[in-house]
Amino acid sequence: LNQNDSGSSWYIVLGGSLEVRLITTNTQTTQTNTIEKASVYLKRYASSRDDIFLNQNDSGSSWYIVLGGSLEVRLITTNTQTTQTNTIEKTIITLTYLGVGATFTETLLGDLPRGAHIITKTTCELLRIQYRDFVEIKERNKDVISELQMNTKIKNGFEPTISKSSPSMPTQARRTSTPDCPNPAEPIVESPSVPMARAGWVLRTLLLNDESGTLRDRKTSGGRTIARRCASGSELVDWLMSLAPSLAVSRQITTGMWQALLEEGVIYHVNGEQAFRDKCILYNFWQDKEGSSSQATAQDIAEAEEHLEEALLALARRAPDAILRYILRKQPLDRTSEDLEQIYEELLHLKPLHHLSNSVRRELAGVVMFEAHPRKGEILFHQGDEGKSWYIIIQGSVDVVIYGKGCVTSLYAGEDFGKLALVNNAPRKYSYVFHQGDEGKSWYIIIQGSVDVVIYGKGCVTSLYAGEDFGKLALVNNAPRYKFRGPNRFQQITANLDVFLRRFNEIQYWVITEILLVTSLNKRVQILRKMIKLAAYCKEYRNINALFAVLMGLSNVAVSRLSLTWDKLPSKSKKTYTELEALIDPSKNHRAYRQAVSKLQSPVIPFMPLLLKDLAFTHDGNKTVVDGLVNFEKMHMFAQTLRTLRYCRTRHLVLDPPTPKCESEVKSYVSCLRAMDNQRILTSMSQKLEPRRS
Amino acid sequence: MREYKIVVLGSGGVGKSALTVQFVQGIFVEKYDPTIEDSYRKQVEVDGQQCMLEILDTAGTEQFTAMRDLYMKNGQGFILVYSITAQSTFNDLSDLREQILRVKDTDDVPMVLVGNKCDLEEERVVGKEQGASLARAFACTFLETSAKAKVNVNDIFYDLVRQVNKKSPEKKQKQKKKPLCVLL
Repeated sequence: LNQNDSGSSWYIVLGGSLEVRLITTNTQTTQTNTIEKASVYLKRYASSRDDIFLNQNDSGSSWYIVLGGSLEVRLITTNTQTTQTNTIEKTIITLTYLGVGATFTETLLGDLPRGAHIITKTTCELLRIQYRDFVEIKERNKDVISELQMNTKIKNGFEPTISKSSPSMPTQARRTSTPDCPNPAEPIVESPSVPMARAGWVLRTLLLNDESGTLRDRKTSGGRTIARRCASGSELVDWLMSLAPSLAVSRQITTGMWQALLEEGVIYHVNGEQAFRDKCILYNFWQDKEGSSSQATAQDIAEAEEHLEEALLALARRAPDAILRYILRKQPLDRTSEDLEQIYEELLHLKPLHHLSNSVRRELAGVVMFEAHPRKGEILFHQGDEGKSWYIIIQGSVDVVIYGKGCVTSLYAGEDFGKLALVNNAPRKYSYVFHQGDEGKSWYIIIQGSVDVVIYGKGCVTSLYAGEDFGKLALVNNAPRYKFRGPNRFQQITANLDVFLRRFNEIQYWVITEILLVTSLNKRVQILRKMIKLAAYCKEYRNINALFAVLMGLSNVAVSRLSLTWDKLPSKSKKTYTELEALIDPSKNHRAYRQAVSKLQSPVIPFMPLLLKDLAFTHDGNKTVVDGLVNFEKMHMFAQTLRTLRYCRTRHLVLDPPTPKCESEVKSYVSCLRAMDNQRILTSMSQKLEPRRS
Repeated sequence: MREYKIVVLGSGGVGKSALTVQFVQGIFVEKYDPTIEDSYRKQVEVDGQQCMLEILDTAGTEQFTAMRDLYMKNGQGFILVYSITAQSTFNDLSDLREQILRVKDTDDVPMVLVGNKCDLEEERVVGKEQGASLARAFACTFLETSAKAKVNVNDIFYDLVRQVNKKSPEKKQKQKKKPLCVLL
């Protein structure tokens, strides 16, 4: 950490290895690099000025959660408005990027004006919570919110200076790009992702070839215009269900599949007003909307048929997410209790909300709004806004930019931001507060949560969209957050341990998802057999942690209840499974596991949660100081546990795995497992596969 | 001797581990080694019957679902712990209960609701009445305890043993005595 500034600013990094630099105004001129960087943002800013969707004088009052893409946060000091061109070049500085899972505008908590512009950096998905709703919840749950403030350290930022408004801000109305009611028919990305475009092409080709003539020119309800090659929502759902009886998906999921296409701009509502609904509402494909009159050739059809299954699977995986986003874009009043339940379940997984109680989350479920910002460079809000919104970024990153003469301090990460937000492979968590004072103007921003870059780690931001199914969510979701326990309440988060623990859940849910996605009984038996084999391999290579994850997946009720599948399993596999399952039996303080592991030679990857539990009980079950003397028995026990861990890694793993034909493909698959982690969805899928026998 | 697997659940920091250690250990010793076989086992006499209790405690891994799921699967009786000094720990219990019912696939699960840290009366934010009414909603027993002051700790476990006995009276041994069928 560098701090060039003396006293007028400060910041705190709470964990993670965030690279930040603090630069004073004096040093800015020498930072040519900074200026070059800055001008890049200037261009983006200039080109997208019309797309500003929250500006300084908005009484913009929402709390945002970013679901995708990235945003840039910029700060303009008021006195530079008139001489913008000059000053911008000098002083725009990217303060930070807001990454996946981050929230912003937590100043909402303190009724503070917005301290910066927020500009979209890539395609963004946001959840927004309206100010008035937020305040209501806050009123009702004061204790919890204050807990939240404690947790985010925002209390450090509250100072009277901050509430000064910016009187010199230009008052002309700028178009805000945060609409009060988001249009559910708008696509959420700039252009369709490859898998979705492909799936769309496959479906369109087959539809054009279909004899029923589902896709044809029709008059729209007004009767004046003719919509080319369109079909009603219910027809499309019928058609898709008839196309894939083997997939055995419900109408709801099928609707979700179409909605997934609509979200990415592959299909459109003819009037651009409606999301995809299973009703008599007309939709057409983008090619037809743009007037393409091409007919499907025989070759096309053959190719489409070949890729049909792949396309359907891709759609089916995306459908639950699409449905969720559809619900989130509904007006709060239109939401059914079922909708709320679903949103609530998703909120459970959002890290920034981790420390909120469930009842607060339930209330948030009623008010949280989804916002997608497909374009880069959109400005979420400006410095000096009556900003009282709180955003959480689920996906993507946000730049925080500051410019203006007299910025005393700014946080700058220059070239390293690319690494920070996109390249670095270690998801990290950090909370930090920084403070910039300039003639009584201050602003604070808190970013909390993880910059989850496993997705980005694939190298390009587009992989975000490619992986836009539950896999991605699984990374953001379900992230256990491990803090070191103890009386001192360290605010540190052990990032590597966290990633490691998170991997456990990923594997566990991946096993369940893979099994449940197979509709054919025989194929499912094969997958189950493979999974058991995989567990055996894990044991052979002494990766006990992964072994437990696979076994926990197999013993999940959604899988274990599939009695038809288990019955058809070859007896050899059954026997292997029974033997392995005995290992996870927790009886007698995990005796089976402890005995098995004690016999293993290094290298071993142990079942980490148990080590953590041992440490916790060593700490809580023994006093540190007894009669004024250090309790060495306790320290010995700590040391013993850590020694065990060290022994596990004393030797390197030496093995010659069979080199697969497409090693890179396997590697990228393994590094980004796609899994659904919603137990309710999994259970209902399981019940669909093998209905309960009463 | 019949064995009972008791699962202790609740948010981090509510004093689960203290309850468990207090129950298993009873008196304070210099050394409590959590890695040995007996560190979570205790033999007790309930209603004239000897029972072996094994405590499955998720302390230290609250944020990590793996341990919780594993213990829920294996447990017979459940202790839901909150701290009377933190409202959020109380609010989180409904979800935990739902998960238990989902895993056990039944509505009738032996369970005790426990408000811990009742020695910190001056910091109390969850009223006793709130606890009692949640217990009524859960149809389970309710106790306020203090691991520190050793209030009601053993009662939790005794009550749970009684509930388990009531729900599934011991009859396994009779079945075992049935002659095996031998085919040649």
